[in-house]
Amino acid sequence: MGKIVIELKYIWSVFLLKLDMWSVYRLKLIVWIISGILEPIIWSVLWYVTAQESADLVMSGAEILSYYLLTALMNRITRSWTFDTLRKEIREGRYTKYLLWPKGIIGFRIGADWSDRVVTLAALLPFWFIWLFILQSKGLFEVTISNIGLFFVAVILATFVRFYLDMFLAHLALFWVKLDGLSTVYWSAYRLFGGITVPLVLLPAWAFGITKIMPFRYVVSFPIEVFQGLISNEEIIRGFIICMAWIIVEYAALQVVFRVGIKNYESVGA
Amino acid sequence: MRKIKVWIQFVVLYLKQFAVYRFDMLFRLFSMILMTGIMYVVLTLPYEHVDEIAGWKKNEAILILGFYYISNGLAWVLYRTGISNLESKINSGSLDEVLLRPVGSSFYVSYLEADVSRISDVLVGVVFVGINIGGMNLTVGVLEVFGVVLSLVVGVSIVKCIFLMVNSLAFWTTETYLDHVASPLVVLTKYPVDLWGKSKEIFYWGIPMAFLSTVPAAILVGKLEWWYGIVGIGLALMWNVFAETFWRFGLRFYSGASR
Repeated sequence: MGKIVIELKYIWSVFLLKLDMWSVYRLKLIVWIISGILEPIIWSVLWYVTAQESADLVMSGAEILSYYLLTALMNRITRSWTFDTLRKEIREGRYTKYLLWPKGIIGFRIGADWSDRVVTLAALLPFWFIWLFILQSKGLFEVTISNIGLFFVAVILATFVRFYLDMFLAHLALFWVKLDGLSTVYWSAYRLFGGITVPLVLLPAWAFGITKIMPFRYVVSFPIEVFQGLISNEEIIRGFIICMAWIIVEYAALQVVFRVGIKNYESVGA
Repeated sequence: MRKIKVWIQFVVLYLKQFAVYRFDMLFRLFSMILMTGIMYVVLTLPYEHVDEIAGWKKNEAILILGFYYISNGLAWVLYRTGISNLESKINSGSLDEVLLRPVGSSFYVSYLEADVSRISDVLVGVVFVGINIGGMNLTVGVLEVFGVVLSLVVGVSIVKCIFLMVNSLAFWTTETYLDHVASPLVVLTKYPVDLWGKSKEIFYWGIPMAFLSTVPAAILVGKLEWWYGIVGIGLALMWNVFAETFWRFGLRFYSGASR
């Protein structure tokens, strides 16, 4: 119990430290939000035009707009910079500091990610409430208290699924040093199978089936589906179980990769 | 000529670095194939529900995707990596050494890191365009080819200016990842800019991203005349003057101190 409290205090310290850094780089926040919104706008225009011209699309134009608005927000809330930051630190030899610190890297990265999240949320929340009010007044979906509660659980699980996936993939740099190609594959898969590029229900049935067992859906699309009340309680529970299974698998894979990979780490920088 | 020789040296340097990381090299090739597959699926998915989107049929839209690959690939081969690293150079103060080089600083910053592996994008684009020209039975004259090549050169040149200007804002700000703001502009060229209704004119004449893909495809299928490419030269020159002026203005604010 004492160890957990110490770890939480450490995460809290990192969180506050990173918050201070955000106050220095204020423009970064604005750029970050704008860049996250531009791409969903492009996708939404494509599918909105399609919906206007098609009679058999399962989503209406308004539903598509609301989906992409929520996706843009969710992508920011569950986003982690761990993969990008850590793989570069390993490659450049700056990973050594984590090995020398009395506290490990996990607490540090969790604290850093959560400071990003809280700052983004604080900036986006007013817009989100306005959008929600507009969308709900048009009867696009019904938000209930239980939906909101389940949504928070889904978001917390999503952040851990994303975090440990990032940690595992970044530590592969201990073996292969440069992971630019892997990064491209990761982002492409994340955007397509997470539902950022296309709403998952619009994918062919076989592809939609695959997304249900991949981790990407549970980082972006699943919390939105829970929030909008689009899936049954049974599916929600199944989703939570899959999330927890992924967290365990990712954590175990991270331990293996770290233990074997650290023997290859040269700490020089390349 | 001297600049071309310098650029060739950059390419040789890149190839040496590329060969060192063999796993990454393999993954890049794999990612290229995967990305192409994903893009093809994503682009053609709406056409399962409609015959035309904003006046463009499926084959024509694939033509646009082909031109997107060609121009985006060229942009990466030439300047995207170099420009996207500008902010970190300014932040770390390592732009000093660039300013001391015997070549123009904006040239050096832009073309230093030639990502030659992205030539694969260009090849994929050429295949897409070639297959579709054959499939659509298009008769392409010399003037059309001239117009298409000119549009691509114009598009790639203008995008370089936009990225250089956006990233040059790092002279005043820091830790902002400015490259992320400009990147979505390139994403929108995967599709016909006509999707944007009346606002499409912005992408033809304001921020002329249309020259990357929509204009060359439109010239090929006969939606636009070949001389649009010539009109684009004027735009490209204007953007180049803007970008160079902005770069020189920004340099005045460079302190050389790392942040």
